[in-house]
Order: sequence, then C-alpha cells, then structure tokens
Amino acid sequence: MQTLITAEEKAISVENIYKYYKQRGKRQRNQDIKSVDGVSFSLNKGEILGVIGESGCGKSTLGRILVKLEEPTSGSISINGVPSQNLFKQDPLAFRRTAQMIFQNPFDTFDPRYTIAKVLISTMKLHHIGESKNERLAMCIDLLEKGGLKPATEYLHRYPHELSGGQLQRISILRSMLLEPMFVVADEPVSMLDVSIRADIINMLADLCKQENTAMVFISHDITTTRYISDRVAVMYLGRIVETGPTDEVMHNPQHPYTRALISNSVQLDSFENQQIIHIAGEPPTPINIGPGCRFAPRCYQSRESCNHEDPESTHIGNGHYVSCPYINE
Amino acid sequence: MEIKRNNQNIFKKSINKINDIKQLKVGVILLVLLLIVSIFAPVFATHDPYSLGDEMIAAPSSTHYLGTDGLGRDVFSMIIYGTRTSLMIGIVAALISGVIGTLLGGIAGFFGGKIDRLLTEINNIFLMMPTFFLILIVVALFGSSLINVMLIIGLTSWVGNARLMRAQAMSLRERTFIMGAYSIGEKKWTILLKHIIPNGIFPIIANTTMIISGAILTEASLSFLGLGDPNVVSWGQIIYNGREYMTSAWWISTFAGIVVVLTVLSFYLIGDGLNRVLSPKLHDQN
Repeated sequence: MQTLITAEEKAISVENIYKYYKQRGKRQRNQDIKSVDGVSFSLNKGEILGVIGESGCGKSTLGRILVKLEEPTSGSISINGVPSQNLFKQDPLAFRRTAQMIFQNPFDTFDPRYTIAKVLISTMKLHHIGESKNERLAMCIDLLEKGGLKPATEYLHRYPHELSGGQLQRISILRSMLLEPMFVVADEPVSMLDVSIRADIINMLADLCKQENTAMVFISHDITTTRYISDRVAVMYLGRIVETGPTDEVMHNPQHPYTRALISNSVQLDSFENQQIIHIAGEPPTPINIGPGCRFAPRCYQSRESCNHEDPESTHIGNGHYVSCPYINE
Repeated sequence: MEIKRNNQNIFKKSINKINDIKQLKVGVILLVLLLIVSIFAPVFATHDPYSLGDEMIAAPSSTHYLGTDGLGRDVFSMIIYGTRTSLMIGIVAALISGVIGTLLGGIAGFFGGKIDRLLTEINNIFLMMPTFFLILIVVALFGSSLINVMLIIGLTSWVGNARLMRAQAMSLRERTFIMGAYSIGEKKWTILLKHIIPNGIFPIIANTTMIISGAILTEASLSFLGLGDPNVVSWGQIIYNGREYMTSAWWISTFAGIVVVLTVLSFYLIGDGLNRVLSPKLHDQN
C-alpha cells in the first residue's frame, strides 16, 4: 500500500488475489464461493502485518494461498520482486525455504510417529542443511536451546504427544525459522494455547522476525494480540480488506464501521476509556451471492441506500491508512 | 541411550497390552506354538509324512499318535508338516493382499479425483467377483502349484484392505501435519509413503491378520476339492483324503480339521485383539 517504495524492496507483495471455490451439486453449479475476493497488500522485510476478521472471512485461505498450500483463482504474489509462481516452478524447495507457515493446532503439526529429533533432522535433510548425522543433531540441540527448550536432550527423543502445546508451537516456529524464510504466515498460532504461555510464543515470534528480518503475516481473530505484535493491521470482511493501516492508527482511530464495531467489542482494549459498544446484528452472510454494493451494508449501522449499489473503493486517508467506506466522516 | 530406553519401554508396553487383552493373548500363544511346530517340524514329527507305511488306517496308538491314513502315512507327522504349508500360504497371500491393498487404497484416497474414481471402480469389480470360483478357474487353467495358489488368493483378497486404506488416507490428508509436510517442501509421494501410510496402517494390519486365516481356509477348501498342490502335504488335503474313510477311520479328517479351526481361530483372535489395541480411540494412549 505504501506506493512510493518499489516492488523490489518488498519481501512480499500481493496483487488482486481471488480464490473462488466451485460448489458441488447441480442446483448452484454456477455459483462460486468467493472466499478471497480481491486482496492486495505488501510487506517490507521484517514487517509484521496482522490480519483480523471473523471466522469465515477468508483470512486462513489467504494465508494458505500465500505459502502455496492452495492455488489462487487469479492474482499474483511476488516475493522479493520475483513472482512466486516462477520461483515455485523453478525450484519448489527454494520456494518452501522463502515462505513458511506456522499452523493453528500445534498438537497436530507434527507426524505423531516422529520424534522431535526426527522431525527436525528430516527437514534439514530435505533442504540439505548440515553434512552428517552428528552435525545435524548438534544443530538440533543448538536450535532447541536457542528457542528456550532446555536442556534440549530432554526433548529430542520425545514424541509430539509427550509435549505441551506451547513447547510444540515453539518447535513448529523453530522448524520454520530453520529454513531462514523471507516471510512467514502464522495462522492463529496462539489461539489453541493456554493464556499463560501465549505471551511467550508471541514474543518469540516477534523477536525472531526482528532478528532474522523476516516479514510475517499474523492471522488472528484476537484484536489485542494482533495489536501487540503487528506493525500494520488489515481488517478483513467477506474476503476483502476493508481497512488497513499502521496498528496504532487503526486501533485508536478506526474509520470503517466494521472495524469500529470490532474494536468496540474488544473488552481488554483501553477499558478505562469506557467506549460505547457497537452491536451489529446477525452473522456474515455466506460468500456466494454478494450483491453489487458494499459487503458490509446489510449489517452496517450507518448504511444507506447508495451502499447497496456502489462498491466502495479503498481510499487513502493519510498515514498509510486505507478505508473502504465513503461515509467515514459522518 | 535415550533411544534404547524408549525401545525397551515400547517392548514392555506391548507385552502389557497383550496381557491386557485376552483374545490377543490366547491368539499370540497359539500362533507362537504353531510357529515353533512349523519351524521344528522334523523334530516333532515321528515319521516321514511322505513315506507309505505298512499299517493302513491304524487307529491312534503309541506308535502313531493320531493314527494313519489310507496309504499308511502317519497323520500326526502329516499335520505337523502341513503347518508349514498352511502358514506359508496364509502369510504370503495376506502379505500380497496387504501390500496391494495399502498402495492402491492409499493412492486412491490421497490423490483423490480421477485416480480415485478409477481405482474405486476397479475395486468394485473385484468386490463383485465371486472370488472362490475365480480361484477355481485359475487353478484349473494354470495348475495348482503352491505359488499359484498363494498368488491368486493374495490377488483377490486385497479389496477390503484397499477400502480401509482409502478411508484412512482421505481423513489423514486433511490433518495439519500433512499440510505441514507440504509447507516444509516434501513431495506428494514422500508424504504418502512416509506419513499417510505409516499413520493409517493399523486397521490394515488387523484386517490382514484376518485375511491370513481366510487364506488358510481357502487353501484348505481348494485342497478339499482336490485342487491343492499334490506335491506338498496340507491340512485340506488330509481332510480330503480322509473323507473316504470317514466311517472306518474318523481320526484322519477330524484332527486335521481341528488344527485348521485352531489356526484360523488364532489369527482371528490376533486380528480382533490388534483391532482393539490399534483403534484410533485407544491409539493416543499408547
């Protein structure tokens, strides 16, 4: 979104990503489910973008598309200025080294029949990291201790079900970082963990990103966590980014009605400010037959006639803050 | 050292598991006995099973523990040597069916789409086929050597395994660790062979044990119809030969029949026990 910087300096830039799923069954054959419907953004090296939104708004699909676990229907992703499609065709392993993903469920991230050492060593083998078995083992120990799992020999020969969620998520992060990726997608990495260890994991992620200068897309529905970790925030609704900008700017000065409603409902945030809670009725509609107008119009508290016809464009309101709502000043 | 400790634990744990589940315990004890008998057949046998003796249809006595058959052969020794034939047929045929079933089912379930549809149709064809008559035809056309019998039983009994493995693969491929394997850069085939099949193989192991008993029964039936390999002793053949002497020498068919029942029972018990041990609900605890 920061238009002045050229594409080459971006760790990742995404343009007009669409992902439509075909529906099965005869009756609605021609109606696609529009999971991601035109998303563009870009990230500098070491920058963290928080993506927030309700469940079903397409944020996880977006994450999976970014690391090519799914193919987008259309749109382009370039990493460091190179289209990821080309990179993937040339050398799939090299692409995997540039883009990594951290999953939501740490208990299911590793093959239950593999020990931690085997998980890490097989990853190293696959990417030709390290020469001999002993060297790889030493690297594993090093890695685990660096990630705060001490003493590492305690963990090496354990199976995933013998470890806690926090430990597993640490290992998952370490495995991803082992490949020194250009950017990481973290798909709700702490939502399945105990509240007590969330902060540790979040800090670990943030520190690693800053150290290695890795860009990160942090997907979450938890506004407070996202606010804490990210440099910029993008709010998604029904497959589109409705508002994006620097974290503080968006959090303290939300413009889009949806963002306002989200933030007003987030209890922990600035509780002393005594904000008025905005209620929005209903659930997000299924993304099949979206009318021509604004996606949020049916639930919006300030919607008016024109909202049902005109699709709002993303407008810059200063400071890298973009909003897709024409009536923000009222 | 760590690994060693772990292995010992696994060994101890599996012994405990076997002790916990009664049918598994009984089955394993029976199987171990059968294996010992088949390996040390020459030690246990009192006579050469192929040599024709002078005493025909002699009743069980101290020289012939289970009597002799119509050609004067010692039934006890024949049954002991027959163990080798039956176990070999059962295990080899079940292995063939296990390997084919796992691979085809795994490929169908994991890759999905057109490959799945094609393989499922092939599966359905085999499912519809009257297997036993197919075996009869093949044996009648190509002769009834031991290898033929093993192959044909194996090639017709993989359907159940393939269905099980397909279902396993379909549920496993949605799991996070498979996504993780993709995102780390593993290839599809590696994922299938290293993650999907090892994690989904438990019901196939249990089912394959049951196929062993099915194969032993099929071989016995073939021999009983006179279509077994005439060059080796097998239980079905003993029963077949004893049929004519049923009224005057009951022991020929009876003891061989009992052994077939015991063997089939032992594999069924093991299969059922394994099913319990390896079922997904209990799996997380072991």
